[in-house]
Amino acid sequence: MARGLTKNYGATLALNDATFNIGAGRIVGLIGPNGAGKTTALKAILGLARFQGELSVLGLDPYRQRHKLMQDVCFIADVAVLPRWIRVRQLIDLVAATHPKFRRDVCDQFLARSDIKRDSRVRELSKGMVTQLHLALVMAIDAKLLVLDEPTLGLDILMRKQFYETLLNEYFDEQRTILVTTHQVEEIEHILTDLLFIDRGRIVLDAAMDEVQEKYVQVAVRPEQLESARSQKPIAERQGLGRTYMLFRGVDRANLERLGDVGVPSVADLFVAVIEGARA
Amino acid sequence: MSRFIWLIRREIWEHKAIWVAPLIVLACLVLAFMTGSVHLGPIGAMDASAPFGALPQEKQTKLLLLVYGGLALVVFMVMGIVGFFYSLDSLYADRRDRSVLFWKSLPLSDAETVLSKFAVAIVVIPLVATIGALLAQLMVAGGGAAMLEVGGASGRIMWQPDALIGGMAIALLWCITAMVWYSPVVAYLMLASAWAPKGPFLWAVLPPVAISVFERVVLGSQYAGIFIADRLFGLYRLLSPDEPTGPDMESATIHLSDIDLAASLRGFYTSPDLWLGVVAAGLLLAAAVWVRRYRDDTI
Repeated sequence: MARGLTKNYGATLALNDATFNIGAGRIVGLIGPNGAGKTTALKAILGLARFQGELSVLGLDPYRQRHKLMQDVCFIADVAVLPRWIRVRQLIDLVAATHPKFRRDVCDQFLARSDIKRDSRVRELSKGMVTQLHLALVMAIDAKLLVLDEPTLGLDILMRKQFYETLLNEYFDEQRTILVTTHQVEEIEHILTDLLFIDRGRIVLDAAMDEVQEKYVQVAVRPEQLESARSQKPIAERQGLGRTYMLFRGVDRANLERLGDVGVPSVADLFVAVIEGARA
Repeated sequence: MSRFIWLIRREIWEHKAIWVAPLIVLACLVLAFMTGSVHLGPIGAMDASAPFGALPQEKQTKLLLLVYGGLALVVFMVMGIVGFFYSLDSLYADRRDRSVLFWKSLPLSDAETVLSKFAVAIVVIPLVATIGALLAQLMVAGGGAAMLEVGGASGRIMWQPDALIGGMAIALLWCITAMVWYSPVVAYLMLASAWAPKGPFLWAVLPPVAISVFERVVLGSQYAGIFIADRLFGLYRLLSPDEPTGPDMESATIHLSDIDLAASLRGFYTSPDLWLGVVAAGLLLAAAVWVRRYRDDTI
């Protein structure tokens, strides 16, 4: 899908030869520190920014064919981007009139579950309601790709949970792809099928979740095994709750089991290790 | 096409001034009538010493034409201001509040968006102005007739076709003429609106002012200044090509009734200035579409 994607803002290289491929029916977490190029990558995918290199989204060039692409792509951004002056009723009418794949009945169904009134203006709604409204609009569009850029920022934990549950249970299927960036990785790691780590404009990890769980192993190393564990070249080591946790990559599981309790690393731990490894 | 209508509806939802402003003008007019502060002639013809009804009919018609034309002018000036700020805001407001990200997530091309906004500035606003002007004229005709009747005279004069229909014809003429003549101004303002990093007003107004001042100070000539002033105020000259001195009340009275309407229209619509302006509008609009697409300073 993307090959050699490069984008610079003046002298700053926001995307540096990034290459990745996202298939249908995947939920991909695009994860990176601030300024890593996540937003730039999303903008390129959404046809909002020019770039160098090749990029094809659903077979289209997003920059040249944005309005065509948008029939199949939906987008929810970090802060609510719905126009604040518009009324809920007007917004729905407008999307219904301009989006050929919008189904009003589905949207109504979702809105009926919330407290959103049709005559309210967007600026009168709470932050959670605006996200619910945007989600209702997006759920009613039969799109192939949904791009979420920090969609739950500023929402309380109940809302965040509900947001992802709705997406997973009522929206996602094999035909659709969801690309999501967030800092709250722990909330979405159980729904992700793929990980894309990005740092300084480069893709530093591109793997399916089960692949990751096979390849990366976290061991709570027993104190007496520390030296022997270090000789296996862990990619990361951290202290926690009186134990030393080490992260191994591509080391035989049987070997590791002798060192301590073997477990699956969290995406956050993996992220820290991979980013630090890439920078070193 | 219905999509386009919806886009125009969106603009009218967002920019209430488009229909609120003419309503306010009309409301002021009603208020003026109710408080009795309206005198039918702007040049004192309604004095008790020279009652309107006592004037010769030809003079009455000219005065009324002036009144009706003046009413239309007020409405058009108000809507001109509305149109100016609408155009400046059109491609900037949604970038400022980031809702451009939402609009761009709909399957709409940038050309469609820009054209819908241009259509509002160049068709919807002048049409609203025309309707407002016609209503204002009818209101003054009705109110004036009532005042005359109360004063014991016949109110029929207010409704006479030469004056009322003439005044309405002037309003319509202005509407169409303004659409064509000001199209490059609107397109220029929209380009500034699409391009400005912030403060589109300054970005739109400063360059022409700076160029005029620069030319005048450094080169000692003022072609740019004249060119810009001509585009902003040259409508009048084009509509009455034999009148070099510009608008003043006395000549306006003569013109409104005496000009050969067909000839001046022909003159106006065959002037190269007008059509070069339309070409310029097209180019500026294309540039606005381009900038709208290429600007990615949001998110």
